[in-house]
Amino acid sequence: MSAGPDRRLYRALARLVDASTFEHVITPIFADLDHELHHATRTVDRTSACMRCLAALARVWLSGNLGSPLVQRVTVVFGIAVAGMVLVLWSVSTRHFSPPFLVFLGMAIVGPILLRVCHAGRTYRQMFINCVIVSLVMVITLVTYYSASAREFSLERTLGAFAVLSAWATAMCTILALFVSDRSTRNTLGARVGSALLAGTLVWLACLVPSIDRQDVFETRLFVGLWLQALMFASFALVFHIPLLFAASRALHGRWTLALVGGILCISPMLAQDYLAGEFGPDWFFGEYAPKTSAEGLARFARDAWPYCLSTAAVGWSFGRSVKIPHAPDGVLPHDAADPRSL
Amino acid sequence: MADEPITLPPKERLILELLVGAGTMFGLQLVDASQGRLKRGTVYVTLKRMETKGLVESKQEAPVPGAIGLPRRLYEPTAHGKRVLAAWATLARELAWDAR
Repeated sequence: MSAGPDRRLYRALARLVDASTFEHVITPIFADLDHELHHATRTVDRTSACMRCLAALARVWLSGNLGSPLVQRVTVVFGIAVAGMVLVLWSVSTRHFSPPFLVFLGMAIVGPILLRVCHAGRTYRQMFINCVIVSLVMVITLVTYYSASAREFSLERTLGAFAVLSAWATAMCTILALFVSDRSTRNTLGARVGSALLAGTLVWLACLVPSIDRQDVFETRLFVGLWLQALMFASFALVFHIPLLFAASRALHGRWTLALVGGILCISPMLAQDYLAGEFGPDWFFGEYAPKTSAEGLARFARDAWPYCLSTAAVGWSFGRSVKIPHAPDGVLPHDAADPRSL
Repeated sequence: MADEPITLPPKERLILELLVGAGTMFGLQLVDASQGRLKRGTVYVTLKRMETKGLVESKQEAPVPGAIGLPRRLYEPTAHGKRVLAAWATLARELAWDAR
């Protein structure tokens, strides 16, 4: 037995996985590698054998058969976060790709699906935490890029990007938390009241923004103002999309709702920001992602949005009373429930 | 285990067919013989599950003089596995005949 990196990996896996899996899955894969290395005569054959062994281990790992869910989950989340980070950097550093928001939109849709396919989130809570980690990595990457880029640097733009994107992550967490169906938060009246209060509070906080004079203050107050404004966008999305979310979660058994929520939340701040700027045209999707923070526009939006938010909240509330939220025992996703028809 | 109904997913059926035809095989031989339907990573997971179900059994290959590295594992169908495969084939024929 050699002392190469394959042996170190073999010994590391011996500590990570359970004895049965190690004996019946890991050891045979390495035995095949030894067999192929023994018969390989060229360097390319040896390299190919090592690559096939690694691919086999990766396939076993991703299929959830290594007996270490935590390690697998961390690996998958890390991999998706790195992929998102690369996509963000690609989108901001080249002109041949979409704006960063499209990357976030794509990851919001693809990310939960990948997490489910790779068995990295069995409960809503795990999915929620994993999505937050991925989105935060992408947000930090984007903010770091703009901060480090001298020709692009703009404090307001950087803070704005961070505000909108962190609010996006926050709102995604909030809405996903509303759909948690485990022992801690069941489908209760209290959960609905809490969500309505949360939405109302966010809107109320956002209404404080016009009182902040952003032209003169470029530090803490500006940041807080932008963040609150972004939260308002998020709460707008929250209130507006409640009926759609209830319907989608009912019709789609909750599995695809996670992706839908992410996509909707990604689009909503853009819609809101373009509403503020009066640029609700056909090219809104490709507009600037940074918020156009006009106090006048914000005040107009707050004034116009109140009746709209209240009416959609009422619709959402009544719709939510008549439609049962997908519910699965013990925090298991509805997709995993024994009888999907019971949802 | 005994209370659970016997199921035979396509990959397990394929492995049983290959093993019944050849007697004993290594994992890599199964992958090669399957013509792409079995993958290197998941074949051992499937074989482990089949061992748990009692459909196949395995043993380490006899040490070969001069060989280095870890010994490989040889797989062969159990009597139970052969019966399950035969029953499954009969069932498939019956269903195909009924469908005509």
